[in-house]
Amino acid sequence: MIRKPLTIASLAVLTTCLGTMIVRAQDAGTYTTEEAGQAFKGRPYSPYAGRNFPARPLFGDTHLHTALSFDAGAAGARLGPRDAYRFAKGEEVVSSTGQPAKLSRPLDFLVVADHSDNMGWFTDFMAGKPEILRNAQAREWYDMIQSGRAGEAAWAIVVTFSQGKFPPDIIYQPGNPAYRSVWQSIISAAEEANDPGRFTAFIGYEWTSLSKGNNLHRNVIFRDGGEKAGLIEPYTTQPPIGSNNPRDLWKWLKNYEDKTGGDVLAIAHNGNLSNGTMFPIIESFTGKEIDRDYAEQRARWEVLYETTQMKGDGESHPFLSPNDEFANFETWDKGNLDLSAKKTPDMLEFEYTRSALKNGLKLEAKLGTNPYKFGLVGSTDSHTSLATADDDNFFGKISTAEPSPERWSHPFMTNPKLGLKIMGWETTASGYAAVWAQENTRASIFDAMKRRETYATTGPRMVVRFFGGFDFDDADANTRSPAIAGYTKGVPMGGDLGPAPKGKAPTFLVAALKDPISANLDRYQVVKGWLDSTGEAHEQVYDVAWSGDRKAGADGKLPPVGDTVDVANASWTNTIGAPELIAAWTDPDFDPAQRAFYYGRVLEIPTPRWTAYDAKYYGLKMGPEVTMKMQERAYTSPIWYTPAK
Amino acid sequence: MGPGTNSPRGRFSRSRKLACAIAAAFTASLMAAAAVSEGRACGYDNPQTASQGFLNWLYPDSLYVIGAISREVAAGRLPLANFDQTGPDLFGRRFRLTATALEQFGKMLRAASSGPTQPSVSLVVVEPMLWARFDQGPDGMRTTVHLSGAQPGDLVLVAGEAVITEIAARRLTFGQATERGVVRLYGATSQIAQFLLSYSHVGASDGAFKISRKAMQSHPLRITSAELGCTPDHPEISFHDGENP
Repeated sequence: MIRKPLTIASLAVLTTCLGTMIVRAQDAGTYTTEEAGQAFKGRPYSPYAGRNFPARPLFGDTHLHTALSFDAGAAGARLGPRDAYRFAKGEEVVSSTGQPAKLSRPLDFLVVADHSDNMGWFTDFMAGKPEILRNAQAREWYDMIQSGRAGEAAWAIVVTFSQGKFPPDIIYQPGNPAYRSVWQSIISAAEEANDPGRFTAFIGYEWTSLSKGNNLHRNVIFRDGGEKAGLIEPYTTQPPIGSNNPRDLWKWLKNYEDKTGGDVLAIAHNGNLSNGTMFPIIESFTGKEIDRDYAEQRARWEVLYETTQMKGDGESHPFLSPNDEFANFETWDKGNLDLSAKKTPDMLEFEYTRSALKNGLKLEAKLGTNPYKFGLVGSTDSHTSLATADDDNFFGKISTAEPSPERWSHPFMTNPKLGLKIMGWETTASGYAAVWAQENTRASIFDAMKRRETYATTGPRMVVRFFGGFDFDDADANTRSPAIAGYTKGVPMGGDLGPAPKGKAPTFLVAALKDPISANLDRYQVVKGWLDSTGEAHEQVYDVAWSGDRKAGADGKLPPVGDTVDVANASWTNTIGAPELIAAWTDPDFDPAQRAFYYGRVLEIPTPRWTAYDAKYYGLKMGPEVTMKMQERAYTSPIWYTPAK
Repeated sequence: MGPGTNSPRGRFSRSRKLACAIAAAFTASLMAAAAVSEGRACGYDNPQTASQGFLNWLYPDSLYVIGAISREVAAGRLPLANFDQTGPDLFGRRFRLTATALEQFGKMLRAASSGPTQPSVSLVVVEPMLWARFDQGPDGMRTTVHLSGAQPGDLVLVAGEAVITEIAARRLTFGQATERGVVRLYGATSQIAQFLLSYSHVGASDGAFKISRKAMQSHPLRITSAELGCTPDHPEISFHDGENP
């Protein structure tokens, strides 16, 4: 074993790892027999030679809308997919409100995921496309707009579409030449932007299922290029061509793979606006308990879940996790997507990450398959073409919420009849998807997504490792090579642990490095969920690595890390917290007969929220109800433990 | 509420009920956009009706005004709009302040008007999407506040509440506002040129008049129709200093 003092080191150290004499039998990546044989001959000078596990996380956004989305266009977005890619690659662009915008650093990948239904219709309509204006109804709307009645026209368009009464000859849906043209333009933009090794532009879209106002959206992502994705058109939701039922989407995904030989996956939208329907036990479409087929199909196609985004964070909820002092983070729990129905506490269990993972264990015990065995990502769901998740660079959810002195103080959504209102300040500058892929290519990133080797961040690009096994010990955490130990002795995030060897409990090697331009780290926690012998699910949050010499109190809680945030100046100092956290941790409460999952949660020290940056920039005084600081975080994909049958 | 208001809350309520019943709008943002349907309602009536999205398409990049206002507020060159103040506005004070500023702006246009051939102008205050019109009446230019939109053929001005308030208070000239991008003009080249020549100095105190005259004259000479984005398919043009449409 190498002997290397545990000192503060560069970011690269953790992620690229130092060499050891350990046999790399479980090293991730593609090995030929010949290569593997050579690996046994001894350690080459370069500790990295011959290794092929992911060395650094790639950061991206799997959920970005452009002007081609019906609602984004109607909200004033004028930037298209090509602008979105330019921005994601680090170029400066001018936003739809005329403001220069640039990311702090380029992203590694982007999925332009425009809404499936009526994709591109709005932009074509507003441009006065003759094919649309030949229709009498469309002509009437257009003339209303031109004569100064844009508001009435907008309402008429939306209501007509919502009622399924859109003129069939102009609706943009599969089979319509205009729809195909829009889809091809999206593909073309992705193909142009895709730059293997440097930047990955995925072809994708958002299947826009809205059932009774409940958000059941899924982002569909293709591993393939235009030669295959161009053979189909996105699946929509309006019958008879489309459907709101996820089962129908899964059939469509299978048909795509069967037809093209390609690969595709779906990422479920953040479920907090689904009013209890995103992770059902009882299917909302049938009123029946989900069956094995549902479980198998969902597990096959929906390998990832978007746990955090601009419409709130969905990892946990204080009602469900009252003992978790960090559960109430950027919570949106007032209603469904259009606020047409109020949220009730009984819905929460079926729309938050942790409770879904717990119910997944129950369903697995019952059905033999866990439908909710998903990895975690964050993404923006921005409708501005600007994938911004940083609080000091937040361009809002929609174009009319781009930086302005008033965006915090006006309702983002409201339903006066039900007394529901979500204010502009409640939108969240979140999140990104981190993927442990070997290469920055469509294939490599997609494959990493399929094996759930991903984590979510609320914006900062911290580097997070999470390995599970039965043999990790303190020595593994005292090397500078957690990845080598991790891949050699265990499985990475998203993986499975089989039955425990007799007398052993799962051990986890956890490591995190701060984002170099963000805040220090507060703590690394492991969240465990398990099923007891009676079939009841439980959860526990463990602090496993933290900054400073804090000691847990009588309640078992670690004291807060402190707070250096200067709200008035929208600043903080890294005088508290730690730049890195690393530990080996053994589950102290393990029962080898109980199904369980474990995932990591990494917290930064408190930092200013985007509202504080707005207040500082514009000289605003916001109300006391406005959250001005926060603890950014990352959530790893779980590792599941399955006992012997 | 302002003149011409036709019980917007009642109609909004019915529309909203319909929306909830069909439960099929795409997203909340779209619902917010849709709610602009109240013919003469504006953001002062109900903040949810303050949809600006269509404006950005109908008058291309007109929401650049928002970005320009944001920059000016951050730099301390514009105050916050009354519309942006939090808290209830039970007696419509904010609307009245803006309506008063628009009336005053209309008086200033009238005073500066050089003759009866001035183009009719529709102006939208972008934060609340409040429309006003300035046109020739029997006794000169007249002002109508709280309309459903622009009249066909009008020159269209897109501005912010604080912009109009500052001009009305003679702390900002129209020419300066145009230069800073906090007002944008849409119409035929001749309309824009005529308006700027006639009214760029509006809002000037005596000391600011020379500056505004200079600004007024520079734009039409420097920018050609083509540069302003005139196309047969899209007759609206944008007047914005330094822009290359």
